[in-house]
Parts: sequence; structure tokens; C-alpha cells
Amino acid sequence: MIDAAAYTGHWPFRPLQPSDPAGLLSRLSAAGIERALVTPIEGLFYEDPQMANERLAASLQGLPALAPVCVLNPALPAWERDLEVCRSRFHCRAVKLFPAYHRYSPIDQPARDLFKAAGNLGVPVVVQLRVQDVRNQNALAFAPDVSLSDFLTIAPRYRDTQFVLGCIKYAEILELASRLPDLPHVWVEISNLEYVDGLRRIIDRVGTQRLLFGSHTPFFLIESAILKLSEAVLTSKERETITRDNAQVLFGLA
Amino acid sequence: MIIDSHVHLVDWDGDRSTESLVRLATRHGIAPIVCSCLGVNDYVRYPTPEQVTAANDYLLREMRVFAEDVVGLCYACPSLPELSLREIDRCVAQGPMKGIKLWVDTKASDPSVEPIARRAIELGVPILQHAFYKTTGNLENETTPWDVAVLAAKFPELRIQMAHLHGCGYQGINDIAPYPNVSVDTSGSEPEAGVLDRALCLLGSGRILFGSDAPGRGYGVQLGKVLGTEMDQEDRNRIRFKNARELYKL
Repeated sequence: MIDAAAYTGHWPFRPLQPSDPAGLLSRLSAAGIERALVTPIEGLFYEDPQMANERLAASLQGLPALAPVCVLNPALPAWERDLEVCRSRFHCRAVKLFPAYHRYSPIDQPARDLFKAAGNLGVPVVVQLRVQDVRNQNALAFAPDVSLSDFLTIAPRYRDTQFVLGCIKYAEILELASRLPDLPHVWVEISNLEYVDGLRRIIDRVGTQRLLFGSHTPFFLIESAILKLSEAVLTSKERETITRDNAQVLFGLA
Repeated sequence: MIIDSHVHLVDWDGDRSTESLVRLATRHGIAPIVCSCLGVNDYVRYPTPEQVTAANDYLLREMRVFAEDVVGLCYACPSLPELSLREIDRCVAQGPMKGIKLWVDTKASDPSVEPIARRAIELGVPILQHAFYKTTGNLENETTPWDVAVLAAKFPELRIQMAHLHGCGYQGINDIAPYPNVSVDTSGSEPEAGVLDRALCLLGSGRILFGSDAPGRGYGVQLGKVLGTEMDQEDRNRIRFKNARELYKL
């Protein structure tokens, strides 16, 4: 299995374990997950997220099962330089944007410029809709949910860019469902998909071709992601598609 | 064995019907499910007396059909004191329900809850009390864990199941820690790591129950909170079923 949504690093509001790459890999392996795409948590908070990307790249040396997903902030002036460094030097498999934490919208021009640039370079862009339920957040660093409708107004204009909607909720996928056939470049990562028999309902509605298994660990418990799969009573083909094949194709993983 | 201490039944069709909820629960080895009905056709925050009675009627019917799988809690509203006491008598004292469900119409610390608390003590049944700390702001009369602590202090003999560990959070765990008559269920909110660990440390496994908040939440995701948190097997069994079995006399 490939986990499309894992993290390392320090979260300021409660201790997250494991926080280091080796510990993460060990925890993932114990759950049957062989590879993961990893984002540095510090990228949300560092004034220059590239510093977090540099530390991530260094920390993943010698751990080929973990692939970097770099954090970019298009509201900062050097994002183009950082995108190129992340792609060519750090070999990131995607870049991840946190609009709510960096205080911009996907419809703002800098974000749109980044979408175009990433598309030209063939780098997938993860638009993280949330990291934590707004009700549970620490008021010191409140980050509202990113608007799916905002994203949907601009996604059709960047068809050369592969987008992943990170931490999308069940109701949002239903909202997106009728648009997905016209948006072949949009994928969803299912770590925050939850409803009674939620994954099966979504598969019955949109199929498996655009779904990416993610755990959102260490924010969420990996076991919850695993039990979500078993609850859906997936066929072998469905399971392989969601937990491996889609990620291999999208992120260029052998 | 796993007992789900927090499920809602509504007269919905298809995948959210009682039949479906029971079937999906057993897919994870969960049975029975401890249920309340907060409204026949949808959850009703501030119900009329007729709506409360209809909700409990619906649950009573489902309990007859799914006698082995559904345990019922009587929906009561402190803002409707006479109606609530009549419903408790009908559904618990003279009926098969095993406890009382309080939701969002009145804070648990409000004096209007006291007659319901006294009746629960007389009957020897617990109150399942919704509680949450919301950074975005609680509803006007929505109970917080602090309110639960006030109620617990007033009535040390009252057994309270505070709902939503992950919504009450670290502050909520600390609010109820001094009151051994308060347990907490793991239902609802997201499967955030670390919260159950803290509850184990400050409350002990004897005061934690597995709950899902289905159908709005998924059984598997919610169960992952318990199965994915490190603890010994005896602690896990307490949370999975022993505490609920003792609390509801199952």
C-alpha cells in the first residue's frame, strides 16, 4: 500500500508520535503500508517553508520508501525558485499548499500562477482543504477550511496540472461527484472521508479511479484508515487501485 | 465483543436504516449498539413535546424489532421538564430503555437538569450527556465538559457518560478527571491520535467507553481510535465492552 498523506515533524499543540521519518516508516510498515508521501509539518508554520523542505529532504536520505511532498507558499516571492529546487534537487513527488495556514485563497493570482507552473513541470499539486477539524483547533492558530467551491472555480482552467484535494470530507466528495467526469485532473485523498459505510458509498458514486489512500498520520490514527478500507469490503482490484495503483500513476512511483 | 455506546437511530431508508446500522456494526464485531433517537425524521435540537414522544416511540419500535442488537436511551429535554419526567417513567421505569440521553437544549449545569438527575439516580440508570468544546463557539445552550463537571459535583451518585472524547479534548478530560462518576465515550469528531492516550493517563480505562456516533460517523474509523491506541488488552476490553456492560447493566 502507498499512503498519499503522511507527515513528519513537530506540531505545536500536542505531541504527535512518531515525529521522525524512521519512526513513521516503522509505524506504517506495521500497518502494511510500504511507501508514503511525506510532508513536513513545520512547513505550515515556518516563515519560509523552504527551510522545512530542506530539513525534510535531508531527513529522508536513506529512506527510499518515503517520498517528499514539499510545502510551497505562493504568497511569498521566491516560490518559483523553491518549486524548481524541490523538483530538481529534492525530487519531490508533489507540492502541497496550505492556503488557510498561509492566508491566501486558491483563486488568488499567486496560487494560480503556481498551478500553471507546476503543471508545466509535471508536478502534482495537493491543495490541503484542512489539517484539523475547525471545532478542535487551538485558537492561537485558527485555520478555516479551504473552500471547495473556490477551488472548483479555477480547477477547470488548469487542465495540465494534476490536483489532489487533501483531507476532503465525505459531503464534499458528494458535492464534487457530478463534476469529476469533467475534471480528469482532479483526485481526492480519502484520509478524512468518514460516514457510515462511507468509502463504499463514495466508490458506488464516483468509482475508484480518482481515489488515493491516505492516513493523515500522525494527526490521525493509522488504524482508522485501515479499518475504513476493511469496512468497505473492497474487491482486490478496488483495493489495489485505491491503495497503490492510483498513487503510482499520479506520483510517478515505480 | 464490542459494544457501541453511542449511536443514533432515525427513520431513514436504505443505508442509514436501523437494519443497515446493525448489519454494518456486526461487520466490525460490534453488538449491541446503544441508541437514542433525537427525532424521527432528523435530529431535532429543540423539540416540541410531541417530537420527543415520537422519537422515543420510534426507538421503542426499533428495539422490539432488533431486540438483541439495540439498547435504547430515552431522549429527554430539561427545557421540557414535565414531559421529560413522564417519558423517563414511560420508557425507562416502566419500559425497556436503559438510560437517558440529553443533547443540546440545556446546559448540564443548569438547575433544570436536576429533576432528571434525581430520577436517574432513583432508577439507577446513567445519563448520556452530549458535550463539546468548540473553538468555533458552542450552540447557545450546548453543554461543555465544565458543565458536566458541575452536574457531577452536584450529584456524586449520578452516573454520567460524557459524549465525544475527541470533541471535549484535553481540557475536557481535565474537567471531569476529579469526578469518578463521569465516564467518557470515544464517539464523534476525527480520529486524532493522542487524545485517548491522555484520557487513559488521567481517567483510567475504567472510565472510557467505545462509541461511534453512527450514522454520522463511521464504525471503522471510530473503532480505530481504540484499536490504534497503545494499551494492554485488559484496558482495551474495558473500553470495548466491559465498561458499557457494567454501566448499562447488559
